[in-house]
Amino acid sequence: MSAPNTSIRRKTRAPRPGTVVRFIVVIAIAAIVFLPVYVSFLSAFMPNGEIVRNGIWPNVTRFTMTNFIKAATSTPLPQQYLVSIAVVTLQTIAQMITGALAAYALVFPRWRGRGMAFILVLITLAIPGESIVIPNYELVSQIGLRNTILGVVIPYLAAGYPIFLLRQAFAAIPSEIWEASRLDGAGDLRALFAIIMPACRPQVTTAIIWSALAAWNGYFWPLLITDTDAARTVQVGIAQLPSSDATNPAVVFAGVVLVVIPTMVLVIAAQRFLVNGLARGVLR
Amino acid sequence: MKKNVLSIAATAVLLSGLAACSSTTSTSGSTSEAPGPDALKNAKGVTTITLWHGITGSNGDQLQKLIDQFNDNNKGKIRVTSTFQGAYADLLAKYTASLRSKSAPTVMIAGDVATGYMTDVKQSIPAADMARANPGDLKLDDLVPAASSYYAVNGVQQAVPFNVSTPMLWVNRDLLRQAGIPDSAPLKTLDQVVSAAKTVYTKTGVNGFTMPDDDWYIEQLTSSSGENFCTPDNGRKGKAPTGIAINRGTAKEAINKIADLYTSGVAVDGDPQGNAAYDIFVAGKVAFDFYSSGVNSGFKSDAKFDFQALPFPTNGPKASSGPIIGGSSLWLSSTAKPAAQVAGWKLESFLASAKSQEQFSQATGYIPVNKKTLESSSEKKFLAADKNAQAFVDQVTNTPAVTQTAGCVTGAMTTIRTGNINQLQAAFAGQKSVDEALNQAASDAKTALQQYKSQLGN
Repeated sequence: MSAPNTSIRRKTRAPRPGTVVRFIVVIAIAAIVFLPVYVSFLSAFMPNGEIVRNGIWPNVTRFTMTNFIKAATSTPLPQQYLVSIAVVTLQTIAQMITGALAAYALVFPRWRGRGMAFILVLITLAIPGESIVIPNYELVSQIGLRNTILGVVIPYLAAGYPIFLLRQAFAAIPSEIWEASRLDGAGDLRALFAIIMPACRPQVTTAIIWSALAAWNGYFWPLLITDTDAARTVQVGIAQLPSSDATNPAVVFAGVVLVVIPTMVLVIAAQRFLVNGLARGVLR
Repeated sequence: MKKNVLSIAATAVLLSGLAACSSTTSTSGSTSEAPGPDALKNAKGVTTITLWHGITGSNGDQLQKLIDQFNDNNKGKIRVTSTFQGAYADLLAKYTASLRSKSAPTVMIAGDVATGYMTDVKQSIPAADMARANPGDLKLDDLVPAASSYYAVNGVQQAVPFNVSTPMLWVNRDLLRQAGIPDSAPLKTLDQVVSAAKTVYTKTGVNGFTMPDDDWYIEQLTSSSGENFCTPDNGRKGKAPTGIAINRGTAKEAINKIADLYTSGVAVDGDPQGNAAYDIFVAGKVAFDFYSSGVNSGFKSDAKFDFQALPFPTNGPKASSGPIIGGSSLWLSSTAKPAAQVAGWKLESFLASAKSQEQFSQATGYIPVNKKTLESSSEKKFLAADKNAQAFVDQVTNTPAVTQTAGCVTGAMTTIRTGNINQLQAAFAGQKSVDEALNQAASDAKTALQQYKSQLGN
């Protein structure tokens, strides 16, 4: 494939001033937001006090992994990672399924009390988590599920926010699509999972991200309902690192990094999916 | 912090529920007989007991070592399972939840500030009763007075101190020498320290002072000025406290002197968790740092200059001024079976014994709670080799055992601490005058104490 020697030279236009200004503003804001994250990450790889001593540009010779080793060995971290992954998977899948089913019921079939039901779901969003943690604890203890993964996820198999998100997404779909699928002979479940959900990919992705992050970041409830280190999530394990009397800041930062990395991976990966879905949805 | 708010709120929600329970049940230790050694002797098989604690990091590992030793010593008779249940506020919230579902631990290691709460919910047998009923185990007289008085309410010993820390004035000797302050210069009073900090700042340009933004140090400034942090009598003499004293008298004076350092630029801001104060000190960027004795081993490995731990500076009359201890203590459940209670008492006696305290304190940097530890030759050798560890012990031994140094006892301490530190951070940043901040803090504390009182149903 020989390149034609036509002088089709790309005209390089000078960037418009508006674009340049926008870039600068965005980069400045990103830098401000990212600075604490950067300092935390850097501190995890350095001995204590290094950043105060030498500023925020890393002195590569001082890099060390001892903080990570200390953080990872203070609790059975690999085991807790597995527990966290199990909790995230179970909770997210359950919330997606219950959320999709509830949202479908709230949008497509007409039935008396549909509006009231949605209001009740919205009301649960206004209830503070603190007030239901203790009743949940008593209930789960009485069922006998203390110190189990199932005990950790049971109160959160359904959540108001994904229902709300998906309900809004489904309501925005033109009803012709649903009617067409029903006319084609699809039952409710088939319509939901084969037609409706794929049409709302950005919102579904957002709901998945929300559920997964909430499950990963859960601390107080897993702490309350579990009694042994091996049954706990990684957030509870890492909470054992800071100490008011004998603090080791760099190890605490290392623990934070270990716990934050999966969430960053999730968000970055999901964002690509999110943007794809958005684009696909528009170019119909 | 979001996590703390959640657990404090959960505790508050529970407390109102418990208020009804605690005033109607009569299973508190003061009316029923504490069980004696026969309860355990006659028990068949292995008595299993649970221990909950909030001790984090490597200190938690040292606690586990002691537990393992106890289990070995008592194989076939007693078995202890110990679990970390979250640091401080989370631990209390979990404990409160367990009371409702009747799954409270046999022994609970509760932080210093929880003393008021643990006493008020009446779910523990006072240590004094257990000691009386079990003369063969721990003798309360063996405990260091400054430590036992912290955990005695109305003259009755409620809990056995387990790990004790004390606040120190950490000094960067190299920086002081650079500023022309000789090693022999007196740094005993607050005025002397403040003026030395200013000298370092003006002569070398390096900050003279920092501390974690923790209300613990405000309480220390108060007690070192000879004032009760909360009135009347720090809650130690029968009447529940109704207010705090930081906005008047010598306490206000002391806080003003420190705030002055911040607003004039001599002091650099720490942070509430203490990480920044720690890093700044070990990086050599500050001359004086208020910090707990517990950082001794951390500083030893991270600070690459000549430093020393000096006693917390005083600002009041010697006979009634001094620092307050920190740490945690052992509480024995009053709802456990008698055999478990005696087993729990044996565990507490073991943890507070001279030998255990020697092992634990040397490995962690806490101060031994047992007087007899100081008589052992290995402890004497250890203290001779570590000047700072000796300074910790001396400070705790020399603190006068008065109500000022016993610290404030109320279940509202956590709320008061948060309120105080919010006000003081604003004052240190120059956003409001120190007087305004202290008055606001005192009035918020008054409200918090009233709310706590009404939650208890009094």
